[in-house]
Amino acid sequence: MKKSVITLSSILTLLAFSVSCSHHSAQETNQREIASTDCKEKSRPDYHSYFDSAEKCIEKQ
Amino acid sequence: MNKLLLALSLVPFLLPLKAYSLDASLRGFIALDALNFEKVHGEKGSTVIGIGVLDLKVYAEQDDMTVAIKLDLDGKLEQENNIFEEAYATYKGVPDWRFSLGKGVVRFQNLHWGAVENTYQDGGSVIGSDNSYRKVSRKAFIAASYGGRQMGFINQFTIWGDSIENDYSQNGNLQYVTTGSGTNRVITGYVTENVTAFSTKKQLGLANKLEIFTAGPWKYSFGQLYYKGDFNPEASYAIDFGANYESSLMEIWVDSLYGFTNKLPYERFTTKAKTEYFLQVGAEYFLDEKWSVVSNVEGLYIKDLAHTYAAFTENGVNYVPNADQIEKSNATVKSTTYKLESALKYKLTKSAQITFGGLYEKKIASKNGVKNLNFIRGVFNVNTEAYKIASSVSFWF
Repeated sequence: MKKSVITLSSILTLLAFSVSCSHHSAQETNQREIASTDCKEKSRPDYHSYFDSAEKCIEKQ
Repeated sequence: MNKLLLALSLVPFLLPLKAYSLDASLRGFIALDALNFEKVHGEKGSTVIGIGVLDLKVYAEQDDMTVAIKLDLDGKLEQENNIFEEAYATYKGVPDWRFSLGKGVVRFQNLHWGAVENTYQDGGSVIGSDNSYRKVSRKAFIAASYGGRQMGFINQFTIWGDSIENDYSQNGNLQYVTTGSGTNRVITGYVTENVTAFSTKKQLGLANKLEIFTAGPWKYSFGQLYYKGDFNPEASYAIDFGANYESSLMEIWVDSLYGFTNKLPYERFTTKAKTEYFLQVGAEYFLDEKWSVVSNVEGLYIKDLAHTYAAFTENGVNYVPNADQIEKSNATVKSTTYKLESALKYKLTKSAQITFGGLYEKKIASKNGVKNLNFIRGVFNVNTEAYKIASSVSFWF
């Protein structure tokens, strides 16, 4: 009985993590894609500024 | 038993159903020298075709953490770990704060590309500039940044160290790299080791950069840098002031730096006391959506006092200076280097442009007050001028 309880709880815990990790709302994906495209257009072409502006744009504010 | 099963069945609903998803983004910058012609007076001119700049940076973001790795694909890849120009993590979990740790650029300057060449502070020279203060990159660092554009300022404070440290003997002395045989040896350098993390017992670097954002198009920056190795008698330091103007019609950039450098006698690019003054002013005027005109002027004044090299005995070994060391021993070299450049830019697409322009550069140097020399040990292209006609393609993604 004790072994069954431990096995069942392990399976349930694993399932819970699997479901939450794979859950990805369509809206969030859409927002990230838009942000990425927006960041490309906003990034400055000057070499020294480009990676800085890209990084600031990509990071969450 | 029933209560236990009930509790277990609630487990999935009690766990936070948060979406842990990793975002990764790749950014790259490529500048190709389509057809460049460079000529230094007194030398044969040369046509340069090839890769000017090739860098890739990978960003990975998850919740409040960002990781960035920049690959220096146009650098010296044969050196150990040299491909990683930057590799650091940033935490943004505290509002208005950012904490970064890893390897990368120590920020204190207001760097900006010129018109057809990079700035002197990032090695952009046809003649060869002699300044010590270049972009401070590939350093191990930990940094804390406070502020934001909406707050009107960002201040970043950095503690940093070099990725190369001197090796010590058992009695705590520096170890020399020597040549020669018999009783007299010539020192050509120090035994060093590449380190991924620096020791504050051997070296300490500090830097601060304050950026101020005004309500209008201007941004100002104030930077300071300090570095001391435990065997250096004096610290090296620099102060940088910069300004940027951005509007839909034009962009203006200004950068100025005062720096003092002190290095050990047998280090690469050694100096006992080097004082340098740098000034850059440039502007880009946007004719329309596709075309722009850019101009950039830079000047460097350097006063460099060399170490005194003489024979000495240490731990029973006689060390003698070689001919090059005797020649530059205790010499004071003053040099003024400046360049003027202008270019026309055409935007092929949103992320690609063609640049066509020209550059003129001149260096005036003297040694111990003697002018018009043709050669000074340790100084590139003394008392000469150079020009460059360039056409290049830049692409960023």
